[in-house]
Amino acid sequence: MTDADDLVVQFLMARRPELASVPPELDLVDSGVLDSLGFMALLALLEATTGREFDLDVIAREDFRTLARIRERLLGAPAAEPR
Amino acid sequence: MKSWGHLEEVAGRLSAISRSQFQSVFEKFEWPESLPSDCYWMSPELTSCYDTPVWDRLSEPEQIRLTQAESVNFFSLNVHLIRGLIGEVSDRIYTTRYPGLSDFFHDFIREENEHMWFFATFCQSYGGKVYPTRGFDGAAPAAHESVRDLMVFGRILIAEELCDVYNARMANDERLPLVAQRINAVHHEEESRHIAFGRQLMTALHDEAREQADPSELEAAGRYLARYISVCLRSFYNPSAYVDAALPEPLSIRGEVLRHPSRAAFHQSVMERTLKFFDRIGLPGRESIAW
Repeated sequence: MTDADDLVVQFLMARRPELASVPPELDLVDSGVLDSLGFMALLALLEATTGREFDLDVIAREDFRTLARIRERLLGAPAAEPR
Repeated sequence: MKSWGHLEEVAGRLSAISRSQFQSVFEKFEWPESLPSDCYWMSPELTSCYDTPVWDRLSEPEQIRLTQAESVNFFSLNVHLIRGLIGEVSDRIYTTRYPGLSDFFHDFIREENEHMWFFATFCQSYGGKVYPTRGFDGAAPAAHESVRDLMVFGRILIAEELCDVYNARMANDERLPLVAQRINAVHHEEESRHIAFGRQLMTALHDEAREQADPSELEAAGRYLARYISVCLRSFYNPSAYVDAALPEPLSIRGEVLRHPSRAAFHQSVMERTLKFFDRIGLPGRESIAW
């Protein structure tokens, strides 16, 4: 786990302290972990920790939908192999 | 509820003023071909780096470039604010929840549409673009409609009042190009009516929520609006504007200025008027604002 990944997990868990962990496929919107304000705060955190400014014409709300998607689209982790 | 009846009276008066003062937005401004590159376009005291070591390290040409990029960022923020606002008001026009306000909503949407046009025209003419929004639109989650509307219109009022502080300070700043002064002045003048309505609406919604909604929902709404204030203030620190001002390491700059205590003090000063209003109507949440 990278520092950036660790910070993202900490950020998400801080928003819902009752969660023991953040499963990679948990729907962050439906589960109430992230709302529209949370997206903006997470975006700022990601930019600060990765040193990359994200192109807002390219990223979408769906890119924040799950931790797996955040890792793939915003933290640069490779996509999981299709099962 | 008394506050709802008063809301209709206020809306009627504001509509009458709006119609009596109507002038086509296309006649309100003279748009020069270009703006001088060697002067401030935004009051330097209002830029995101002011009163920090970052500002002191900038050369004078860099400071000037920053005011120019941040004027385009500030007007872009207004564009996106208005875009969302028109959508929310359009959703409520001719609904049974807001009877008697539809005429006012027509005037409101017309004026806001004009404001969006002059902000965007400035951005595109002199900055070459409207900066994209750094957020995603989203409905505030709430069970009771009064609490949901309290969050929606609370968000709108916060952003309107915050931008109005900037408009009021720049309306007569003679260091800025005339068109920039005029945009700030016109918006400040017309927005004062929308802010008056917004405050009346917030009072009515808060009264309704106190009577009908669960107190825990009202507290959650207060915390939500506190988070919105923090997010709104941080939207002024746009790394893309730092890039356009040719400042080195834009993300580091944002981090450095946001950590500086003078910025938190500035944030508190520009939100003071709105927070006093929230205190007056009894809206909770002020203590959870991240300055």
